[in-house]
Amino acid sequence: MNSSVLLLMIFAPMLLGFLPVFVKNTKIINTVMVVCAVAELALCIYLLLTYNTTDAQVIAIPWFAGMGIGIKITGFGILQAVATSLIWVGSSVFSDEYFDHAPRNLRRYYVFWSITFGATLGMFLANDLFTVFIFFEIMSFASYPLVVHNQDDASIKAGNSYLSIAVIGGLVTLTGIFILDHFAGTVVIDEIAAAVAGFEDADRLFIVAFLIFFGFAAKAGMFPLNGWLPKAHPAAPAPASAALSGILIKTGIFGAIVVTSRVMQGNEKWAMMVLVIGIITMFLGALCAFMSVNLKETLAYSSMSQIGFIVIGVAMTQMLGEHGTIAAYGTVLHMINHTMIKLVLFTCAGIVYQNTHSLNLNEIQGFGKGKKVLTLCFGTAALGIMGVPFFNGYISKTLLHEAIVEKIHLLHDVHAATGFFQSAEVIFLISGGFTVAYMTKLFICLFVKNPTKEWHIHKAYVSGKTSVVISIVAVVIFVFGALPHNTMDKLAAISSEFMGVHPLEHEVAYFSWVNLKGAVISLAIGSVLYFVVAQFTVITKDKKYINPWNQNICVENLIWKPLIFKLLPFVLGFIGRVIDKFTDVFLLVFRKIFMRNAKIPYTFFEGKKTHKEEGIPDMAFHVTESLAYSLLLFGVGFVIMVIYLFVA
Amino acid sequence: MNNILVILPVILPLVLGYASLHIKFENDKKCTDYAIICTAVNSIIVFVMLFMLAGESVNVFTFTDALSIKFRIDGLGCVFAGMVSFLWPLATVYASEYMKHEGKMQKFFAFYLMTFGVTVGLAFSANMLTMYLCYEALTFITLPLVTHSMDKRAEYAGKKYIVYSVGGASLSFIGMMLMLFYNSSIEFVYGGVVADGEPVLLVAYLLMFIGFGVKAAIFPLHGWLPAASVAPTTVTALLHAVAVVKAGVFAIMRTTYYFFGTGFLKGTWVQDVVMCIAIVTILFGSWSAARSRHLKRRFAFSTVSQLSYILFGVTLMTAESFKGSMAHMLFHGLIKIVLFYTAGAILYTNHREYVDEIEGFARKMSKTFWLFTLCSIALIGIPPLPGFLSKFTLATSAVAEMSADNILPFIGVCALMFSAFMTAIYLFEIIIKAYFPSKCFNDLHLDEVKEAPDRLFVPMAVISAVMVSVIFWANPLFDFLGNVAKGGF
Repeated sequence: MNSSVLLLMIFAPMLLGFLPVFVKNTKIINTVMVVCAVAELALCIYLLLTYNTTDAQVIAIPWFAGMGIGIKITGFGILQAVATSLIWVGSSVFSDEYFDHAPRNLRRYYVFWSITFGATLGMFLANDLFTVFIFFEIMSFASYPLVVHNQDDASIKAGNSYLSIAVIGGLVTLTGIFILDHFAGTVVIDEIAAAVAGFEDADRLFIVAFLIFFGFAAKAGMFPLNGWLPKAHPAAPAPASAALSGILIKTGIFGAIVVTSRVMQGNEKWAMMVLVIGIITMFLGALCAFMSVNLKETLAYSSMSQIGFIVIGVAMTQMLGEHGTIAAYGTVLHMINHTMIKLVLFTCAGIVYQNTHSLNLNEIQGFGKGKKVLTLCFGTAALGIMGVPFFNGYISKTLLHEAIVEKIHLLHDVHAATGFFQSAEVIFLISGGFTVAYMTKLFICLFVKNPTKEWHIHKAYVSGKTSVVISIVAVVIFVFGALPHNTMDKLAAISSEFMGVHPLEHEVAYFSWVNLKGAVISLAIGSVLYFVVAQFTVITKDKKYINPWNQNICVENLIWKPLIFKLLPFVLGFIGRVIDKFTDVFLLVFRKIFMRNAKIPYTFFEGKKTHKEEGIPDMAFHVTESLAYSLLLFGVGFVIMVIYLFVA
Repeated sequence: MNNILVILPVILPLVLGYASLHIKFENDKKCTDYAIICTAVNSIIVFVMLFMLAGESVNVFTFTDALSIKFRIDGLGCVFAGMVSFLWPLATVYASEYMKHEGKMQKFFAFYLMTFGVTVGLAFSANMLTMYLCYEALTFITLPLVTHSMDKRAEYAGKKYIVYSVGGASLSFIGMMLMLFYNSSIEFVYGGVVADGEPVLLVAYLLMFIGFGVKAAIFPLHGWLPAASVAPTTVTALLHAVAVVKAGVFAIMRTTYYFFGTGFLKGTWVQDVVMCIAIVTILFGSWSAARSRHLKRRFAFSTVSQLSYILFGVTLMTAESFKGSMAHMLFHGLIKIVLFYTAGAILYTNHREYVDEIEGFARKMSKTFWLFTLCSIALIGIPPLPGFLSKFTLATSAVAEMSADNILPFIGVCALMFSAFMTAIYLFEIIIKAYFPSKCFNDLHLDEVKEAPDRLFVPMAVISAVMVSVIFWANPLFDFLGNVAKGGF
């Protein structure tokens, strides 16, 4: 592969980011972006189809930023690059019409829009952790203006959370990366596993891995660093939400895979930790999505929940060892599926918003009634994410489910306790049930119920090109689900090398009863949840949607905010202030002793808009006139004399 | 090699600066032109010398065998003098516009010019006595600049500055005398001149560290720096972000690597003590910066913390960490001067000083805030901008020093990370306020707001451009610094 083409692929979007600086017309900018995105997508697909493991070479730019960057095509990377460009094409097309109603700051949006995508592509194709980190940071910061684009209170707040988690996460990860560099002597992704293999101090390696994992986990919205996700994703404009939910959080998964499969290869304790995190994230996200009354918030929680599913796959790949292939396949495929599904769902949410200017389920209910394209696309994506057979989500969820079942069998064979994994399986199925329930809730709300009010829809409710794009993706969702052996198995096989597993030797019988059972159970649980439980909890008697959860109860408000904004400032501020004034008071006392009649100079205190100076309280009280001085000086002299006597 | 030319860039600004006090300029413009031309000429001389006369030295005056006034151009001096000489002419251009608003130009530029000479002298000092003299001279010659406005606040700040600096220098003097007593040589030689490891010399090192540390604003002797932000912004920017404070850092580098030597100091209790000081200052500085609402004081506290990044690298006492320190000294100089200049531009054109007053300003001062954002990102240490490279070198060298019985470097790394986070908080707060005003913000407030004039903007833009360009020549630069850090040239 020609290396310059690959570099162009990554850096072209970043350079394209400067286009809005020179071009004023946003329609032209959008057209150029779409053309560029389609070209990237075509290129990525070409690379994916022609990919073979042997000719993968590293493209290094050693002079860049001191440490240099290295780019390498891996099967996994190029697959994610395809997903990234897909999101880019879809969302760029949709951006054009979405921003018609609010074109403010649009050029700024496009600047960061393309930089974000270049960085995301770069990250998936990185050869070493430094490169990953560089692109990771560029991506985090470039996506901030996308989150706060609306500049209202909610988005600024969400942006603050997003930015702080990005900064903290980035720094912690960076700490981990260079400690790893010190331990292993290399951060090239493919060499790490061999380099740390002989490392004896497992505990320390665990800490290092945890540090690196931290930032990626934060980016992926894993528990307990999930607080920012359900705020930031809905706050952003819909095309940006699709990108954030569809692909940016996957970069966190990418990091988690690298840590789990390279740094902590074969470490049971680590895999267990990741598994538990995955289970909590999966369940919590699904539960919150079930209760939410905001369309985009539901989808954001849903993303968090799906991240949980994927993380479980990451952990199971390690736990199963040689039998990890199905888990690895499930992980990769669920990532791809989720990207496609979320592109459609968020675009649909954007279409709803641009017509109704609301996302509250009570206000938008019945919007989609009679709108065929919207109904079909949303419905297909919903079926996909529910895991209904013949739609893509079913395949990946089945694989993940099979992985847990396989682990139970393996433990059974050696007569070990299987209780934990059996309960994990139950939670997995229940979470699947919740997924079914909240998607059913959304679908019924939007497309089955009767509208409660009229909306002024000027033109068609959606432009032709957007409906073409989401229809194509919806068709792909169906085709992938219906013909898994010809499509998805091949995609997964390409990335098996990166995941550290052998390609699958025999085909999985996806549509056998054993595998259908899981989906059927989830669907059954989901039906019960929606048609029975939901009627008592999240839907009131007069058919209104309510959120029974107290919004203030979340990890961020309960733990992180008090810790960062209350406890730490108090403790450190107290210590700091005491010692800060130490030298000044020392000088002041000195001054009072030697220049007793001089006025005490004033100093300035910090405070909100304190323009006027305030005086230091008069120290004269402590060191007043003559007698006190004399006594003090006498005392000092006396002490010195006594010390001298003792020493001499 | 004796070459009298070495002293030229030290003497020339002193003479020209002194002369300017006695020239009658027709108007202020002539005065500023004179200053700009003089600094530019001197900078060119310095740069020519760095390339032509590297390694040459000159013995100006000999008191005894051990005590002499001697200048030499060596690697570390080259780095410091190069940075200062690059920034000084640009700073003078900036000052030529900025000082219109403060008045008393002639006096200001005379001392501004003289400070240049003293700073170069400090960089080229070949022994401790020369450096000590330059260090003291720097204190006194910058005093009129700090107290420029001559109101009560400035007077107070000036007094504080003098008391702290002179007090500190006296400690260094004790240290120097102890060295002279035990070693009878105070030359700067890479690797140090300590012949036999007298334990009392460790105390001498601590005294000198604290003494020179006053100018490097180590905690708890940093008090003068935020107070000195009452000086005109051009002074705070060049002197209190670059020349004076870096002189303190530079003196500590000299003391550690060229005077006592790392072979003697490494692994002793004194290393732990000074490293603790650096770590505490890092945390304290960035914490205070985040608390401060006044723009310039916020940057001053930020300088306190960033200077200790450099000191942390120095106290690690390896060639690698020394390299990181020098890199951070350079990059922080470039970055912080621009940050101060943007604060100055806001103050000069729009008379706002507090963080809360600049809401929505980016819309009107877009060029200025572009530079501000760029430099903020660089200072926080977000790749691939240069702030990241130096911090990264520091952190990796700290990790390399880490072992089971010495976790202090690791604590230092954590402090770096925490401080980077605080840096992000206090800089992003400004950026967010300026770019994303809240919805209830009234645009009418911005009617009066103007963009900075070109004479303020161009120096900032040039410095930022050079700073960004480091990405592309970081490798040769780091190779050079690495060579210097190993004692080569």
